Amino acid sequence: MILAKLAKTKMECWEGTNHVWIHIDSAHLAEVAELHLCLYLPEGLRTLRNLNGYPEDKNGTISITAPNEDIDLIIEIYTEGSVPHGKVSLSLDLSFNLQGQIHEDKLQLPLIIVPEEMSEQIRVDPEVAAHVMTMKNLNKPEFEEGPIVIIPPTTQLSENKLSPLEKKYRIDGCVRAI
Amino acid sequence: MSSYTAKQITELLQREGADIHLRTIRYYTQIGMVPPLETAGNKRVYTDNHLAYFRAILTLSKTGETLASIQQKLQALSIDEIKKIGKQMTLYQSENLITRETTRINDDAFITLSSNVPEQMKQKIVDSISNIMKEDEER
Repeated sequence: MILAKLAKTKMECWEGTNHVWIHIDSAHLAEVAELHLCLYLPEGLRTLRNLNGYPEDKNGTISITAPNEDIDLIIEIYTEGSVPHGKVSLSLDLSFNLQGQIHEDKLQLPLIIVPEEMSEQIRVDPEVAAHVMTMKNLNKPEFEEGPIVIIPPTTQLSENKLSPLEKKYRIDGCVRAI
Repeated sequence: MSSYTAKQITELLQREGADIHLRTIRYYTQIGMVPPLETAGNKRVYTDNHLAYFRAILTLSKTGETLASIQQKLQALSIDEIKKIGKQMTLYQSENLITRETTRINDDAFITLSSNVPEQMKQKIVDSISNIMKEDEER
């Protein structure tokens, strides 16, 4: 029912970024009223709010109500201070309400913390990376502080339908000539 | 061409006002948002071209584009075109969007001035540029 994968199975001990991709097929969600997911991280690893923008409480529990299509949830994790090298494990808890009954599931994601000098040798899972790259990042500071204010340019009155440079350099009839 | 470490690239971009972390530089490198690093001696390094890529990525990401869309766009551009996009990075930093005002003269000319510029001076500048464009058009 649930597939969870890390973008990188090895991660830098300091200043490293990684993503968890959680896929749930819609076929398994048909009668699910509500889904709750929570990712537990080993010490030293931190997480941002889920990139999909699903409601998330202060404990990091993500709630998805009446899911009716495939879920491709992306959670960004990172290291800030120095994390001890070695094998660690991330734990993903899932619970859902199906026909009035609560079901629970648990997944473990193994991860190796490596020295930051190894950054260039770390391989990224292309499938996870492809999902990350199509996400709009809702965690950029602008979104935390409020919406971006884009001030539209003010417009001077123009007497021309074509811009001056376009008028000057446009070659009419070139398409016909070709 | 200069060579840089990931940390130096981060510091350079941060000095230019970009909100970016070392971990993001590393991650963008790992997922192929920038070309592969170059070899200098026995080290793998970033160059000025990589710096141009990062500036362009940061600029385009401010317009709300996804990384996939930015990557696709950059792949179709020459390094000179990528450098041109990167030069606009500071224009799209939120602080500058609030403290600057852009006036469109026509499709070819836009003037961006600080909001601190007095209204009278602003009009003078706009009029001057408009006249230059008009003269050029009449020639």
